[in-house]
This record gives sequence, structure tokens and C-alpha cells, in this order.
Amino acid sequence: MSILGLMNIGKSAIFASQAALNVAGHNIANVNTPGYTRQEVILETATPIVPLAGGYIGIGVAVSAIERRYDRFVESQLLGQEKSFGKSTAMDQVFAQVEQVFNDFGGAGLSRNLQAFFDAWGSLSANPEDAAQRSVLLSRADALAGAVKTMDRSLAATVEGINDDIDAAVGRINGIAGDIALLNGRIVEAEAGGTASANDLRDARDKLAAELSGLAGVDTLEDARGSLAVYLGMRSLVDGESAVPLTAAPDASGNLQLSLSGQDLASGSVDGRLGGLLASRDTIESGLLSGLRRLAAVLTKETNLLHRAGYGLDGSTGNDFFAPLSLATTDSSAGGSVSSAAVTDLSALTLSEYAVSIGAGGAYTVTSSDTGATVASGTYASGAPIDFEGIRIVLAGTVAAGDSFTVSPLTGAAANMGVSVTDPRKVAAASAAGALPGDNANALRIAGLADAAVASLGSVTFSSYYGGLVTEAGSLARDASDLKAFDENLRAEIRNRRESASGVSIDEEAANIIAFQRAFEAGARMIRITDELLQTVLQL
Amino acid sequence: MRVSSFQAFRQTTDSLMKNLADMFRLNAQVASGKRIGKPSDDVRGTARALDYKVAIDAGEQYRRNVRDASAAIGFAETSLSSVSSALQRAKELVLQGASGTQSDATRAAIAKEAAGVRDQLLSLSNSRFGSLYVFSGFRTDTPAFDASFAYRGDAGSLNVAIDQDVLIAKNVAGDGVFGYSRAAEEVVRQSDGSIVHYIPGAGTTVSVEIRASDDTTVIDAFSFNNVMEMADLLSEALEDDDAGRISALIKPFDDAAERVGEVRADLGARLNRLEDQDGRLENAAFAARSALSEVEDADIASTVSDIARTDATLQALRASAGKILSQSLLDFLR
Repeated sequence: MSILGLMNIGKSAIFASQAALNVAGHNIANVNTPGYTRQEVILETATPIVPLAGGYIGIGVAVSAIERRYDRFVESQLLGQEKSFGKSTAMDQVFAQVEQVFNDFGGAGLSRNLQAFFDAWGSLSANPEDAAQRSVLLSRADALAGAVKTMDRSLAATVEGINDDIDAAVGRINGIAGDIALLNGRIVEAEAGGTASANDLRDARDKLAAELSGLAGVDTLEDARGSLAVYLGMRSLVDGESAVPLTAAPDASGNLQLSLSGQDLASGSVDGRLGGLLASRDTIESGLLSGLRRLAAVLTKETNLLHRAGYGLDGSTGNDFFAPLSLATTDSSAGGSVSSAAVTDLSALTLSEYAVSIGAGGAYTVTSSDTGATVASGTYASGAPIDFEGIRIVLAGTVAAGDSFTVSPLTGAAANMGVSVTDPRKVAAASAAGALPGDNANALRIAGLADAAVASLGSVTFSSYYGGLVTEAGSLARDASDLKAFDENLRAEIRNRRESASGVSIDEEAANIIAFQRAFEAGARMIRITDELLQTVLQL
Repeated sequence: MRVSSFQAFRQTTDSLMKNLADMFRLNAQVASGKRIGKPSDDVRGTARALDYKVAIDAGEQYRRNVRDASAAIGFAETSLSSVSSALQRAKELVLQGASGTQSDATRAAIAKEAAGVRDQLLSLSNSRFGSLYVFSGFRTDTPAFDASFAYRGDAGSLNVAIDQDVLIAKNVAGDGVFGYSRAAEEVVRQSDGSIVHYIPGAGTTVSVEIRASDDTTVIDAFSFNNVMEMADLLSEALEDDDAGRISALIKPFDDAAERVGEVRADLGARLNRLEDQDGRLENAAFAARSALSEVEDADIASTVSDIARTDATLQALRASAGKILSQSLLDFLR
């Protein structure tokens, strides 16, 4: 080996140390960068090995690779945990908000209004002639209706907010999917043919994949070229360098439904934040919101039935106390439409929701959603009304096979709740026209509703039915926050493991800097010594 | 285990946040005095607390009704005690008039007094509690008896709820108190040999026939519906010195006094029942309030000790964070 070979060894030491210092500096610079993976210089002895007296020796050091300290197992766990955490966080946010609607501990709350309403009837029954008691009753009833309306509005606003969130999440998901597709191209290009790893690009892609998993719960698969395929609900979202757009479009009731490459995504197949939003929207609509509307509808129906039978101080009878129930219809038909829907017999109304469907030859069936039973069927004659369970609907237009409609006395029950009696004298406390003004039998009957087990509420009283809604809201919030706390802990633990493997330690890098600085110095000294050796030889 | 710089930083902040959140929650408990601030704080407790609150509210309404009914019944009872005195006075007048030792002048005075009793009874029957006629049944805006002593009220019984499914009537219909009715015919033989038949008629009408000792020949016949008419008849009989009628009226006045006595006893029993019920409701309200407090209220002593503990943890965390986060190897490489 020549003296000049020594010079080369010194040079390789300087270059390798400089590369290592670069990496240490890059690591330190990114100590707080989210998703950054610590990089490490892999050094190896430089080949070829040359023969030396008595043996062989290498020609110095070489940088074989700059690697990410990356634990594939922890990384896939983190992806799974982001998914659960995204879902439970979304549900926790929604249900904590919903719980406040049903929070009866702040002094207000519907249970108070409900009790005050029945108490006012109780006071009126003790003093049926008293104009003041009548006014008190009307204002209590107003407060009750107002509280029901406010709660309905808050819940509807929550559902609306969820739809907005879904829209925003879908936008972000599409953005991320596009970015991943872009990064796929750059990573494949950077890594093509060589052994060099596009570390920082991969960090960026992993970070996006984790965010995507938190948003929608995706599955990922990396191919041999380094391109990451992303699947959402078993369908491809990112394939190589192209991303498929996820779309959200409103359905008949105004709720956003997801579809990917033209096919609907069932809410069960989506996880993460989006899955949490969809699940909590369904839970609110089918549970708390419909429960509140049922409460309002039953209260309106039972009060009105009794009130109509009674007599006011002015002898008037047959008056509704609360604004009468209206029917909401939806239409998913090509030809026909519902021209009118009205309650014809309040006492026959079961407060179920109905589906009207038209079959071949104009045969129609009306199905109750409560019991699943067919409550009316026949052959539709143009313009003829269809009657069932106290409801009459009239269809218009060209009614054809396959048309379907829904009729619900519940949908608007809470939103439209109001007191229709305005004149205190018309409050029907008396049960007979001839016994005025002291007859209190009807007021007594309505006050008795407070303790009555009401069949259409599942044979419980109004206040325990409402209590059920409050505890449902409470347990939803509690379960969601417990689950979120659990997922948060688990995520923190997995992130810790990731940080432990991949995070930057300033202490460690500082030690590395010293080590490589010394190696650099020694390499430089090596070159000087080689120079001195050369001088010595030249002066011979 | 390898600890990265970011990891050390995040773990410290996470722990700080967790303890600060605990502190905030405990502080809110102390501020409100309530253990349950929202349903999810204690779902089962929430259900129970709501039940207790409903029970307390309903109990208050029942107590209001009890006080209302007590006042109305107490007033009716007071009025009826005056009616008893008036009837007592009427009976004395009957006995005085029947004694036969009266001069025309004294009898005229007694007749005048009887008319006074009649007017007093009429005004008592039309007693008003507040603006309401108490003996008119449901027709509380109408005097129970008009100037010709006809009943203008009805039989309505004003029931109020004093507990779940427990009703009590807070009034008594006038024709049941002031009206005079009989179930069966009754015969009284007078000291002068005449025989008096008291015959039940339609409604509250009672016909009286004074027959000679053969029990066939009708000497005199008259009828009345209520105590006012009885007092009116008495006054007329005294003026006319009609000894037969005067004596025949002794029994009706006795019966009427007895009837009023019965009604007063019933009212007294109702008042007792209301008083018992009030006590019961008060006890129930107390029990419900204690139970509610048990469920809902924060145990301040234990909350405060929790705060002290959390505070100690927080301080220790801050002290150790100061050491861990502020130094690195670089500080020692000069």
C-alpha cells in the first residue's frame, strides 16, 4: 500500500464524519418535528481490501446508507390506534355537546318544565275559577313548549354540525389521498434502482397515512417499488399515483351519505373520525332526537284529547290545548306525490311512523314502523284518500308502481310544539258545561297525566320517560369519554414506543457530534501526517 | 429504554394536563357544591336525582293543595258553626213560641227574631271565601240560595289531589247542609192529641201534615225545602199564633241541627286528615331532599383533600419538569 493510500484513508474518515455530522445536525434540527424519524449513518469499511505485509487492510471508511430508525410493527399499531382514537374523539365531542342539551343540573331542564306544567294543572284544579292560575298555567305551558323546541333545535343543530364536520373531513381525506398519491410518485422516483431511501419523503407519507387513518380508518399496503396503496372500506382510495375522490352527498332527509367510485359506503365500513361522526349522527337521530319528538307528540296528544272533552269558563269546548300535531311526509317517488296528509282522529293516532308503498297495478300497503304490521292495504284509485290509524293522506300526480312515501306525526312534533289556547278563560278545567265555574274534574284529569303510565311511551310516566332520555344522553357521553380516555392512553403509550425507537435525543446527538468531531479531527491529522511522511520521503 | 427529547417533553406536559384537568374538575365541584354537574358525571345517580326532584316538586304541589283545601274547609266549618248556633237559637224560639204563655207583643218580637234567624241562615248559606260562594257546589260564582230560598248551586264536589291518586273534597254542597230531606215518612204524636206526618217529597221537599187524633182528617198541611224556609214558616206561624205549626217545627229544627252537626264532624275529620297528610308530605319531602343531597351533593371534605393531593402532585411534577426539560448534555460540554 502506498503512502498516498494513507491520504485516501484520512480523506474517507473526514467525508464519513462530515456525513455523520450532517445527519446529527438534521436530527437535532428536527427534534420537535412531528412524525420525524431519527436517521442514522451506517458506516462500513471501504473495500477493496489491499494486501499489506503480513495481512490485509481496508482502504478506510464509507457511508453505506442513511437509515431511518423505524419500527414497522409499532408504526402499524399506531395507524390502528389513530383509527380508534379518531372515532372515540369524534363521538366524545358530539355526545359531550348533546349531553348539555339534556343537562338538568344547571337549574333549568325539561323535567322541571314538565313538572311545573302538571303542577299548574294541579293548582288550577284546586282553584278552577281563578284567572291568575289560568294565566300561570298558560305561561308554564309556553315555557314547556319553548324548552322542547329549544332542545329539538339544539339537537337538529348538532346533527347539522355533524354533517358539516363530515363534509370537512371528506375534503381533508381527499386532500391527503392526493398528497399520498403525489408522494408515492416521488418516493418511487427517488428510490428507483438504487439502495438510497427517501427518508424524509417517507416520513411525510407516514404522517399523512396516520392522519388519514385517524380521519377514516384506512388500510395500507406498500408494494415492492415503495408505493403505498390505501384502502377505505375495502375499496381503493389511493392506488399508485392516482387517488379516487371520496364524495359526500345529502340524502332525502338532508344527511350526508358517503360514496367512493360511484358506490355507497355503508357507515359501518368507515372508521376513524368519519366513522365516529356517522355513528353518533345515527345514534342521536334514532335515539335522543326521536325520543324527544315522541315525548312532545304524546304530551300533545294526551293533553289535547282530555282538553277537547272539557269546557272553558266561557263554556267553549272541543279546543286543542297544544297546537295540533302535524304530519311530515317524505317522497321518494318518480311520479306521485303526497298532496295532503292530516290527522282525522286524534284518539286513533298511535304515533308510529308509516311507509306507504305502491306496488304493481296500484296495490298499496301502509306499514307501521313501530310494529312492522301492515295497517292498510288496497288498490289505489286516483284521488281517493288512504286512511289508516287516524290519518288520511291524499296522493296526487301519476302514482306508479315503485312509488313510496313516508308519513310521520313525530318529525315536527317537537319543533312545532306550542300552546294554542291564548284566552285563559278557554282553558278547559270543567268536565261539563253546566257546572261552571267551579268544576275542576277535567283539570284534575289532566294534572293526573303526571302520574299516569302512558302506553305510547312504553307504559311509563312522562317524567320517567324524559329521565330515560337524560340517562341515555349521560351514558352516551360517559361511554364516549371513557372510551376516548382509554384510546388516548393507548395512543400515548404507542406514540411513546414510537418516540422511544424513532425520536431524536439531543443528548445522544450531542455525544455523536463529539464522537464524529473527534473522528473528523483525527482524519484531518491523518492527512497532515501523510503530508509530513511525504515530505520526509521527498527530502531523502 | 431509550428516551427521546420530544418524548420527555410530551410525557411531562401530558401528566401536567391530566393533573390540571383533575384540579379543574375538583374545583368545579367545590364551587357548585355538587358532585353531579352533568348527567355523565354519574349516570345512575342522575336517574335517581331526577326521580327525587320530581317527587319533591310533586310533593310541594300536593302540600299547596292541602293548604288550599284546609283553608277552604276551615272556612266552611266556621260558617257551619254559626249555622249551628242559628239553628239552636231557632229551636229556642220554637220552644218559647210553643209554650203558650206569650202575649201578642212578645210573640211578635219572637216572630221578628225568627225572621232574623232566617236572614242570618240565608246569609250564612251564601258565605263567600274570597270571591267564591262556598256552598254552591261547582257554581261558585252564584249565591247558593236566592232570595226566595231556592237552591241555585249544584251537587259538585270540588276534589283536589293531596297525594298520588288521593283526592279530597274541599267543599260541601249547600243543599246537603241547608236542605232538609227525609228518607222515610215519620209520625209524631203531639201533646194536644194531633198527629204530625213528615212525608218525603221530591228532591229536598218535605211535606208536613197535621192530622186530627183520628189520623185521617188533615187539619193543616205545609211543605219546605230547607232551613231558611223552616225559619220563615216559624216566623209566620208565630205571627199568626199557629200553635200547631210551631210545635210541628220542633222536629225539623232538631233534625237540621243534627244534620249540620254531622257535616261539621265530616269537615273536622277532613281537616284532621289534611293535617296528617301535610305532616306525611313534609316527612316525605324531607326524606327526598336528604336522598337527593346524598346523590347530588359533593362531599366537600373529601373533595378538598383530593384537591390538596392533586396540588402536591402538580408541584412535584413542575419541580421535576424544571430539571428534566431545562438541561441536556450540551450544557456540560464547554
